[in-house]
Amino acid sequence: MNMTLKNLTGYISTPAKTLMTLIIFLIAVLFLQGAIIGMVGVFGTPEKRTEPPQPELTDIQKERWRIDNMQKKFLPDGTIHLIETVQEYKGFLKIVNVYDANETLLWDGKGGENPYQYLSWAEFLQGGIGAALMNQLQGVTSRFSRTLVIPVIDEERQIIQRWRYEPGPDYFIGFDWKGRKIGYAGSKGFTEIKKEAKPFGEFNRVVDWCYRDHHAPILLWQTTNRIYQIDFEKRKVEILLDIHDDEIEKVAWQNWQVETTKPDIRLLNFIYVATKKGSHILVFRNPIERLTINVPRQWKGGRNQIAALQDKIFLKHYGSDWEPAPRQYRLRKAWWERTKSKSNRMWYELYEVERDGNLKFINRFEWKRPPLAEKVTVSWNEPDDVRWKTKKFVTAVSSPLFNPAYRFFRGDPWLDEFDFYSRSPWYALTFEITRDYKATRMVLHCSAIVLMVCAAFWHAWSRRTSWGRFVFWLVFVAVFNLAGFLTYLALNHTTVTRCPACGKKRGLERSDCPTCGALLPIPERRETDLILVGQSNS
Amino acid sequence: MRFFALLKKELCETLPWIVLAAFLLVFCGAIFIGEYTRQRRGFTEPATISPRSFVRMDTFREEMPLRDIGALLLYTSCCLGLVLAVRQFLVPSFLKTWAFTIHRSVSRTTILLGKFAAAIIALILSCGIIWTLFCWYASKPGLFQMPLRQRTFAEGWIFISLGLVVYLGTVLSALSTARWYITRMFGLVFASCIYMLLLLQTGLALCLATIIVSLVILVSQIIHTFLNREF
Repeated sequence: MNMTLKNLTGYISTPAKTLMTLIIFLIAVLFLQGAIIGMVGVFGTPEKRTEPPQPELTDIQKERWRIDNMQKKFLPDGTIHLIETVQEYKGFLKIVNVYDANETLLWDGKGGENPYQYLSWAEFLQGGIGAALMNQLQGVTSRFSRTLVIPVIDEERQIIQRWRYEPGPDYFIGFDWKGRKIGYAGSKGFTEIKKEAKPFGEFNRVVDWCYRDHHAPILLWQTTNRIYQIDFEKRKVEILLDIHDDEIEKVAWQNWQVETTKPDIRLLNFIYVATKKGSHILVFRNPIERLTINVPRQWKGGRNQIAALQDKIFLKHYGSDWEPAPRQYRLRKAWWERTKSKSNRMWYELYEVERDGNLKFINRFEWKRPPLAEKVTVSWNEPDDVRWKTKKFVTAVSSPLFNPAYRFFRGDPWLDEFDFYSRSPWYALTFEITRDYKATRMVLHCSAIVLMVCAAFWHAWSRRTSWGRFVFWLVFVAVFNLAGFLTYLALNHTTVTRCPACGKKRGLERSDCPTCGALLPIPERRETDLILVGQSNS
Repeated sequence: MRFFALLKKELCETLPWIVLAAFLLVFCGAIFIGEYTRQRRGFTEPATISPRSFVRMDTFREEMPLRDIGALLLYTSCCLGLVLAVRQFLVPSFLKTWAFTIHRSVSRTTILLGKFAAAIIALILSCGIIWTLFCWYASKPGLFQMPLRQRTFAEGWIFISLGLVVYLGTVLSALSTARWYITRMFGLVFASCIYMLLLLQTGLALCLATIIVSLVILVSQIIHTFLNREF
């Protein structure tokens, strides 16, 4: 058994040792790089980034930009007003001029006293708890992971129930005030039997609100392709929307969380959902009704806004012939050069959404936006500070694997950096490492790799035991750069001696000289070497 | 029989540390739970939701009676792992008693397994059982707001297995023949890296995978070193 275990561990322990040493050195090199950059940032003399001077607009140019800077607002009858802010004090007190589409002044005065009532558009859903925060709560810290607990109170405002969200099975478990289990809340509703509790689906966001005289918050629970409304007081889970073959891209809501008992509510309560496949769906409350809007497929969800009055639903579409900026940084310079001197047509179109979901055109306002280069100068030079310069040199010793890893992470050009944080801290950290420590100067980086490989070659040549091993370590050093070289040194450094036959340096791990093949010299026999006599004779 | 004799000897040698760790965990844990219960008793639970106003979801995060025990459990198991490894592998090197241990009529594998088994039993006795008892207590209905989550129980065991990783890392460092400033401390450094990586995970499966991979890496090296090293 001893021999078997010895042999078995012999095969496993060498790669295990290599992996362990590599992990240690990769982390050590990252720490070292970070420390150097940080120290330089603290103790080095910071150089100011030379921002290009922004151009001053001439009076003619200011006049051309005036329309672009004005707010464009629609009245319920489709009329458009252009609102120019003349004076502003800390965002509160505004003096505005209101013009019609022909720039005829209709009214001027304090912004809050504007007599016109414009359409107000549904706001995109934000706040609450998003996937990133929910993931953070799941982190295995020294104080354990956490989750959400929704309380239900009684008339005396004491908590009588708690509904705890379980991220693993993806449903809520309810407990009474004594801590006894009272039921489950999943996608199929509330139940007392565990087997009947079904998961909600991949979590995306939850927002909450509370009605007057209500005893528990109501949750709007958004998953990848469903929106639920969960009322813990009434023990009711409603599926507001289910798009099983599609994914939700944007959600906006208007007055959804406002009580509808008031008769003077002018606006409808609704949720607007734009999906990744280009569907646009409205969900109305009281009763729950859904309406799919027939929107041209090329219209992106983020460019449409919805307003719904009691009798009419409006859609505002923002369009332009402006070429959108590419998400990849390396393509942006060419894009800027192409677009900076071009004037663009911009327009707002107002449609009425009919009962069948078709759009009825009401009004359009188009204006020409002057070239951006008149207003903005963009510098494509690297930041001229000492940290950036240091980083250029320090990242030269990073592993070349960081660059393809970063490209892999950024494979989806439409993925926001923020999306990485919604996955897991581990994923986010790996992304940050590859982003911040990937080599930026290829010439320096390649030089560093060549240097490391040459040093490894010089060190390994006299110590080589087999060609396979020799080549493996050179490739290893090339792949992991400084961390690979340090790993190689930690695992392969042996004493060298001069071969008595050829006079070349040789390691002691191999019995024959790698250059001439001569065996290691046997010490001369002495009178006291009695034990070895018989062995040497045989 | 020889294995059990060795195990008994190892357990006897490590008994003071087992008792100390268990006492620390029970004593401090009881204080934490008692303090938590006392605070909750004198504290009328407010209605954290207020009608007519929006509620920030942050206020609904869970409160747990065993929250403060997490760090205590983590550091107790890590310290116990470190101390056990020092007692079992480093002290014999200083006292130069390895030769006596090795030249008994038992194989090296049996000696090593005896030490490993003693360490695992020590961690289970002093941390595992006490943690399980705490969880059982915290899960009883009526004592706290809500019973403990199964996930929290599993996370506690992850912390205990991290103690095993620290133990094995220290053993590897103790068995290494390299100088301390070269690669000797790599076992311990590796255990520290695993500790950092573990605290970045959000999924239990990933935590478990990290622990298993690190155990395989360390155990294979320890066995290979111990079976081939000259003492």
